[in-house]
Amino acid sequence: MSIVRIAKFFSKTFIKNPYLWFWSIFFVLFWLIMGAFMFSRGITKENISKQIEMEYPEFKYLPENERVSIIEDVWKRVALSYTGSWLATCIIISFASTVSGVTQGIFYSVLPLRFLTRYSKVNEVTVLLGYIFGLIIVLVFQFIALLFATIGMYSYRFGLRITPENPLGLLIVTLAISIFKFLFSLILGLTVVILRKPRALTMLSFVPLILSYALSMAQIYVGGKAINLSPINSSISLLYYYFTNVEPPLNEPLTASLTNVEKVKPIFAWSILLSWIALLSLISLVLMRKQRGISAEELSAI
Amino acid sequence: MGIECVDLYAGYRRGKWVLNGISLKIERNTILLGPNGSGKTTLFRAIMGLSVISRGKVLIDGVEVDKIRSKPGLMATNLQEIKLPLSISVREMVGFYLDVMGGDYDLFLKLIDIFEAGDALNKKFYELSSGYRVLVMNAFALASKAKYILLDEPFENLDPRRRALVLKETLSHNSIIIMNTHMTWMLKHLKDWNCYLLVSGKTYSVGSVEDLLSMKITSSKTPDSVLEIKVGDTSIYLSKTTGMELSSIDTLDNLYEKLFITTS
Repeated sequence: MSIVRIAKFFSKTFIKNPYLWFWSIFFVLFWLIMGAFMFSRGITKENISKQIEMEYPEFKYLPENERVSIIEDVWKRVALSYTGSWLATCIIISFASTVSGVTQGIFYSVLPLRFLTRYSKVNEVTVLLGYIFGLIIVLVFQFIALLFATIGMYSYRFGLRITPENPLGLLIVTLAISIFKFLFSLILGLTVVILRKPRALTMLSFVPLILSYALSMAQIYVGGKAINLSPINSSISLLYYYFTNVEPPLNEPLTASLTNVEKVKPIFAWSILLSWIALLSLISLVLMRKQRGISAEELSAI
Repeated sequence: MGIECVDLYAGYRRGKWVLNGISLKIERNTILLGPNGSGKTTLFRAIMGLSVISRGKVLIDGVEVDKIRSKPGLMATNLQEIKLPLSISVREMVGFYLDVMGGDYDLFLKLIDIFEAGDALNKKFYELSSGYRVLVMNAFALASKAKYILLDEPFENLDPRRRALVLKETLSHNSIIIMNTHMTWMLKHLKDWNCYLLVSGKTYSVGSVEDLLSMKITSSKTPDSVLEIKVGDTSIYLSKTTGMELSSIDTLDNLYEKLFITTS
């Protein structure tokens, strides 16, 4: 039984889920709108000009056309950086919403998957890979929808044509994040099964979403070295880098000025993300072998 | 070789086993008769490997059920918990399942037509009434063309007309059917089937359905009693000549009323 057939089946079913549309796309679009038109109110050319004058007092003595040129250049970079940070955050939150649903889906699929892997052509590997590919198709679809929405909205807001510097890099990071998110949700679902605590499912399924909100907002507005060890923040750093072609700050909030600060190297962020993917893969395999399933009576008790 | 349960314990709940040391062998069409709560569905789950077996084993054609992998055409069931929790139509769900199980989708459509459940096809499973869910899963199980088909309460929530339609299709099916039910109205059509009684997690072999129909049920032991069935603190006895005929009740749930409450 081909993985492609199963991937097509799962991706069609995910796409037809109205909750996915609402929580993973429309709700996140709301946040993008907030980012574009509410939270960016303080970002104006006047404020940028004042900021430059404060940091470089000689700026006010430059000829008019030079000052205008510098302000325009900074404006473009600020617009790109701001857009990149919001896109990165919203992609992470959007994926986390999808993955919360996937965690619950995996838990309730334990019995059907046990049936299918015994009495049909599919085995654990084809189901898992089909599930992953089906999910990746949906997450890439979400990414494209959010990318175009962001470009449109933020270009309008800043009066510029804002486009990602490296769309291919963005896509590759998106695929890596999809795999990480899937493994995370798989582990959470299997943990509920192994602990035989089905009532913990709802709480655990929201963990990816809560973590994504907390860590992404921390990276945007607070910063700090330690959070860069988190795969969620490494993902944000990589999305930001490939969108703006600028390394994000290591110890400062994403929204801070980027001059004279230590930066997150892409290779560092990739190594964090890939290490986590490797670790979660190992844990998933162990848990899948260990889980003896949850009885239908316990499932119906939820 | 058949389905064999050897000293099976499963479904531990509130300090008691649901299945208490069940041993049986199924090689042809078999009916498992038992009142509600006797462990019939738990037994089916254990046979299919969907429930954790605490003690004992289940062998399907000589192979332990936990070791079975990727065997399309071996077993199918109408248990609703085997369907994936996806928000898709019945048509798409069953289409996928029968495709990967090597079943016959055209037969499924034909059975749905016979069962007069065509309205169900374009709806999602959770939108169906309980009766339609039973009909869809019965049609799915029969269309799987598996060697062993386990039908769990296949007549539950169905009107008398549809019960007859389901029974007719089941009787004409080529697979080895294992049916569990608390109903007794259809027994006269299953005379050549093997029969087990399942009460309080224990099985009692009574030979064929015809043998069962020839026996009578009493609440007290008589000289010609052939089998004692423990029901909680009381016992029910099957005897050759004394007592109530099984055909006088439609479902085992009425048995207790007839035996212990109704005065003659």
